This record gives sequence, structure tokens and C-alpha cells, in this order.
Amino acid sequence: MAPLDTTPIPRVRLSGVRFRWHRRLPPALEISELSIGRGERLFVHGPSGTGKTTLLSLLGGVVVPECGRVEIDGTDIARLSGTHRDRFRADHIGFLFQLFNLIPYLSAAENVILPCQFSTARRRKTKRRHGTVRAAAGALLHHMGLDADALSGSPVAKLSVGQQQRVAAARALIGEPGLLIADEPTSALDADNRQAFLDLLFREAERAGATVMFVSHDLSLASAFHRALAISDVNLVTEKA
Amino acid sequence: MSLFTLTLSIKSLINRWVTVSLTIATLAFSTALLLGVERIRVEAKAAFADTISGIDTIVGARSGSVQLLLYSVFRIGNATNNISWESYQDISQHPSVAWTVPISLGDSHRGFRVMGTTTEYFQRYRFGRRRTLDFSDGKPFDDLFDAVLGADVARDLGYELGDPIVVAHGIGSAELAKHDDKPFRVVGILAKTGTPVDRTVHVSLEAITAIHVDWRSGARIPGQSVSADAVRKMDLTPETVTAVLIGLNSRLGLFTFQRFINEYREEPLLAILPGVALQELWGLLGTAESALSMISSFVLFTGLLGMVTMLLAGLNERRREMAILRSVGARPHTILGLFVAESLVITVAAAIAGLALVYGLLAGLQPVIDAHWGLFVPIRPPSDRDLTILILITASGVIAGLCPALVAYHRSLTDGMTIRT
Repeated sequence: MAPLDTTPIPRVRLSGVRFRWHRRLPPALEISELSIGRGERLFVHGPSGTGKTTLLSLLGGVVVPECGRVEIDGTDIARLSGTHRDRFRADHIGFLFQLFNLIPYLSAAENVILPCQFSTARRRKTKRRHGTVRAAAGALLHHMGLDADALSGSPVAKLSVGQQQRVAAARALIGEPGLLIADEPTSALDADNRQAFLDLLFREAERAGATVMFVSHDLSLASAFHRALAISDVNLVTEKA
Repeated sequence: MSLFTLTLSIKSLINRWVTVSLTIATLAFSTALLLGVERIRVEAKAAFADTISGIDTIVGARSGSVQLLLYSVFRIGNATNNISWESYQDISQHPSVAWTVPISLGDSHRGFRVMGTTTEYFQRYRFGRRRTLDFSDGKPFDDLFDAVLGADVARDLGYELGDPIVVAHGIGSAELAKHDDKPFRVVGILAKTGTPVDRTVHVSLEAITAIHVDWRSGARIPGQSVSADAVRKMDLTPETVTAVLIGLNSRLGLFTFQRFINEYREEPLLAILPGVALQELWGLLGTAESALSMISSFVLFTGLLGMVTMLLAGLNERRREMAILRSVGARPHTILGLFVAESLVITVAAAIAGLALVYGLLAGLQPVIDAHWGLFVPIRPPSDRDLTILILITASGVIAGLCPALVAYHRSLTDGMTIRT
């Protein structure tokens, strides 16, 4: 395992956060303190309905807490305007979802370079390292064990689920975002593929210097991470319930 | 809207090509209808206006001015009455008059009208921008039973110089009564003009008199028959003519001359200004014209509704697509732009396809329209009005497309990256 980064500012820091989906509803999530270090691989688990999705939505800036701070690289995204939050997310966070992550009418490489179309910061970083975004997409796909040229002709919907998830992982990591948020990305894969996918994901996240926040209910995966966290350990709301 | 949004929308549309191409087809057909109706309207007016250039006034028996114009120049409908030869003499001697061309109508040859006139007709008649009649073959009539054919008559019936033709009495297609004892001979064929001249058989005024010597009230006088040779020896000055086409010395004398005709004591006459009568005709047809334009607009509106329906119906199945785009950094206004770009691409494609369809139809139907209605629709580049129509169609497409775009925008605000299926 790679050693933990020891920079004083953590990648992610939540403090005094309380969130409710609706004014009349009880809070869905209350976190007094949670930090994720740079380069850390954090495994978050817990049964559904305990606040996993809410936590991801907060980190992604899709929703904002009613109080508290959601800091990513020292920026409190809860204080940003909607447009700025969108831009911040595009620049700093790569997302990986459970299934069907890809735009069906784009090729694998075109899917991979999508974040560079929306984030200038990630496009610049990509070009600095690889010259062109196309070359970067090719390299990333290659690292993921895929051949961009061989895939260029066929629609991504024809790829196997495992291949699709690897394309999605390459897309999440292009332009080296500081944070990779993965929501059950392996649940559709069989056991062998699951481990292989995780290895690839970790290797590339490390290469990109990204912190990985991985949400799953499959505890068998937890050992591969630096730290495993039950959502109920940090969510004060579930503790009360 | 960036180039990327446009490319993305085009790829997305290609991905849904079946529904998209049907939508484009619907819009293209309504565009073609709108442009086609406009084209025919403009060309019909131009063709009518082209037919009467060079004639200052037309005199006929008193009836409606539109009616007189239609039967004297366009061979549509019939004269209710004729002018006596004496009146014609009076008219031609009026000091304002430069030239007169009397015409006599009422007979036909296999569906084409036969017109008796003088050889001056071939010199005086002007069409289009003051073009004169040209002979593609032969010469004007000279002998009593010579006939000059319009281009369409010769083409449709396959006549050549020297062919005999028999004129039928009246203008019905049944040709129950034929002047078969006095056949004509084709001596000239006129070049195509795109006017009713093409569909006319021209003979001399005297010939019209000659074939009717032994006729009264539309039937042969029983027991009385004058042979073609015998008739040559008779005085063939016509008793009546149907109308007179007139050129004046100066357009300034027009109103004086018109008053002279309208106050003429011997018989009730009418002098019309072709341009004015044509305007009157357009006024009459205006209602039908606007009804046609309105129907075309409604068809277009239906097409646009179809497009909005397609885009709205696609929203649900594309919710995931939108969520993915949001997760890779697309902002809600990017989603808005994406949908606006889609409707723009659809309407632009439909406008181009519609235009192509109009030209295709025009090229294909040109001879058919020409043969059936004598209306030659030339293939010209799109007019300013056509372009305005196309721009308006595109603009209304984009405005209509705002509706699904705004729905998608609001959904992407509330859904965020949550994938809902």
C-alpha cells in the first residue's frame, strides 16, 4: 500500500454538517467531523437508507447542508454559488457509478475525454501531461487494459459490463481530479472481475494522485482500502435512530 | 451554445435516427408545402402578368372586366357577346389608337382553342419582358386555310408543317360538330412562350368567317353547303369579333380612350386596362390564397408540435444521459443548450430537406404542370421571400424547442447526478 500523504490540509473535511432533504423532514445526515487524507482510499459501507447517498450528494455539491462546512482541498463548497459548485465539481471530482455510466452514442475515447470538455483545469492538466486529450484517453484506456483504437468503431453499449466500468474509471480519472467518488461501481461485476477492477482503479488513482472514496455494501472489498468506515460510525442521525 | 454542444447534440440525434428522421421528414414536408404554395402563387402571378405585356387596353362586349381579361387573353371562359365589325372600325380609327388586333374565339381543335386574328398579332403580341413571338418553324398564315400552332399544340398533338387539321365548332372536348368540309393546313409553329399562346391554334379572321358561312346558331344549315373553293370567292369580312387588343399612341390618352369606349352609343362596350383587371382578379383570389397559406402554416405548426412531442417523450429515457453529463461537469445551462441545439439541428435539416424537396418536385412536375395548366414554373434560386420563410421556420423550431429544453434544464437542476430510471 502507498504511504499516506501527510499534507496538513486534508483532501476532504466535513465539520458540523447537518442536512435534511426537506425542511419538514428530520435530518438525514449529521456529521460532526470527518477527514479524508490525500491519496487515502476510504471504504464507506452501511445498509441503504443510512445516509451513504446523502454523503455523496454533499461531497459532489449536488446538495448543500443547512449548516456546517464541506471542504474539498480547503474550499468550502457549501458556500459556493450553484454555478461555482458545478465548476468546482467538474475540476476536482471524478465520479463512477454502479452501471451504465457511459453516453451510449459516444465512443469509448469520446466518453473518456468528456470531463475535459467541461473543465478547463482538467483539460490543461491532461494536455500538459499527454499533449492532447485524445492521447490521454488512449493512454488511460490502455492502462485500464483496453485498446482505444479497437473500441473506436463499436458503440460503447456493445462493451461488456466490466469493459464499460473500466472506460468509466478512465473517464473519472482523466485530468487528475483530486477526489474520486465511486458509488458501488463493482456491484455488477463478478468476483474475479471485481478484484481486477479494484486493482486497476487503485493503480490509476495513485498515478493520478487521487483520493478514493468508495461506497459499497460488499464488506469483502474493505480489506483493500486504507480505512473502512461504517456510515453509522459518522452519521449521528443513525446513531440516534 | 458551443461547438461541442452542437457536436454532442448531432451525435445524440444520430443515435435516435429513426424517430429523428421521421420528425425531420414531417417538418420537411410542411416546409416544402409552404415553399411550394408560395412558389406557385408567385409564378402564377408572374405568368399572368407576363402574358399581357405590351397591350395597353382590351375592348370587348360589356361584361365584367375580369371576365373579359380571362377570355380574351387567357382563353378561360367564354365571351357573352361579340363586337360588331362596324364598332371595331370605329375603335381602330380613334385618334389615340396606334394599332389594333381583333380576335375571334369560339372554336377549338382537339381541346385547344382556335383563335381568328390578323397577322399583325404575331408582330404586336408581347410576353414576358416585351419579347416578341418567334416562329420555331414556318411562317404566319397567308392563305385562307392556313393555321399557325402554339408550341404546346404542335408538341402534344405531334403536328408538323403541312399537316391538315380540322376545326371543331364550339370549345367542348366532345367535338360533336366539325368543320370537316374546310380543313386547315399547318404553315407555322410558334416557339414556346410559357403563355396561353402555346395552347392556341391561330387562323385568320376571314377563315373563321369562312368556316361559318353555312352555319347558323351553332349548326349547319340543312341543305346548304358551301365548298372550300366556293367560299374563297365570297366576301369574308367578319360580321363580329370577340375582342380587340389595342396599343395606344401614348399612355396619356388611355383614360380619354376608355371614356370613349365606355360611352360608345352603338352598342355596350367595355375597355379594360389588363394590369388593373389582373389586380382585380388577384383581389378575388386573395381569400383562397390566404386560406392556402394558412393551411400550410397549420401543417408546419403540426410538424413543430410533432418535434416538441418527440423531444419531450425522449426526456424520460434520456434522464440517465443527462445525469451522466452532469456528473462529468456539464452545467444545467449546458443541458439547456444541448436541447436547443437539437431542435436547431432538426429544423435546419428539415428546412434544407424541404427546400431540396421543392426543387425535386419542381423538376419532376414542371412538364406536368405545364401540360395541364399551361403554367411554366421556372426553376430559380430561392427568393428572398423563400429565405425569409426558411429563417422563420428555423426560428419557430428553436422557440418550440425551448419547451423541452426548459423541462430538461429544470430536471437537471433537481436530479443533479442522481440517476433515476
